[in-house]
Amino acid sequence: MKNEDLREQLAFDDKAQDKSDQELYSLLLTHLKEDKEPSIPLNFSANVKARLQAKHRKETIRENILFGFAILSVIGFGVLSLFLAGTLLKSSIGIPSEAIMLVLVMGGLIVIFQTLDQRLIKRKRINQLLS
Amino acid sequence: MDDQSLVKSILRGNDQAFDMLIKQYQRLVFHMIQKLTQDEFLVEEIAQEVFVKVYEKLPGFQFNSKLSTWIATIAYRETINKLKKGSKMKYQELESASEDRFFKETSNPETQLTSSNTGEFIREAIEQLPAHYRNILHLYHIEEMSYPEIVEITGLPEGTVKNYLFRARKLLKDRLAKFVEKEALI
Repeated sequence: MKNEDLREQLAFDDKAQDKSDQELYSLLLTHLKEDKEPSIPLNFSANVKARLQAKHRKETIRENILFGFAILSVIGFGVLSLFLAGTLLKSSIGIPSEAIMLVLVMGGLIVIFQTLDQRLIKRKRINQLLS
Repeated sequence: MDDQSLVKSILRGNDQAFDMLIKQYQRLVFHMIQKLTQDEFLVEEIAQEVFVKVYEKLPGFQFNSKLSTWIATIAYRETINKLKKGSKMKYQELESASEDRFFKETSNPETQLTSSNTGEFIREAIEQLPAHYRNILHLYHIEEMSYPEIVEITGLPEGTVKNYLFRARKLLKDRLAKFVEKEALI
């Protein structure tokens, strides 16, 4: 029990002026140091780690789905743009469809390369740096 | 292992260090949550979520405060948020828990006589205090935290923290006086 606590408490409780009040506060302050131990499951730490892993797995799946959607959107938009551009150019200056296919394949390869670089090589490099 | 080495070790990916952190602070976290909600199912659920948040936020921890204060702050906020989200009733109970309930329960002399000793009587009386009072009493007396640390954890102004602490002790003292009186009569 800190004397300062008792002094502060008595200053707050203006009705507590006699000795019995001081003794009650002293008794109380002594017992306030005691508390029941909380019941913590033995496997609590394992449960936390399992929850953490489950959360990471869920986030990875969500990331992958979003990434897949993004790639599909880029490819879809690219194909549509090329198709429209090809139709317009062919009708005006006559660019053959093989050239358009080549551009499409190149675009696809670039996207695949970027994906592999981002998801495998960069992550591996970061992990190596951290460890 | 001191807190800084422990944190560095966890950030390097040491799984056992995170285990150590959980074992070191689980008591504090469980106590913090139990002072705010007595729903046992919720307590473990929130405690797990607290440590998940601790793990995720650890890279941003700059040691501007003690690790225990930082973890207690996460536990406090997570509990309040969970109570707000889960059931508005529970949060309203926490906010509106008044001293009236405490006084109403003191009016029953039988409940005062069931405790076998003073320590047990005081523990039972603390359980019936408003949640914020219980929490601040615990942080101050059991965890031995300073006023600024309690302010950081609860986000309450220092004046409010002191007021809750003093009022809680006064309520307990008044109740203890009745208990001691009854004990003397037996």
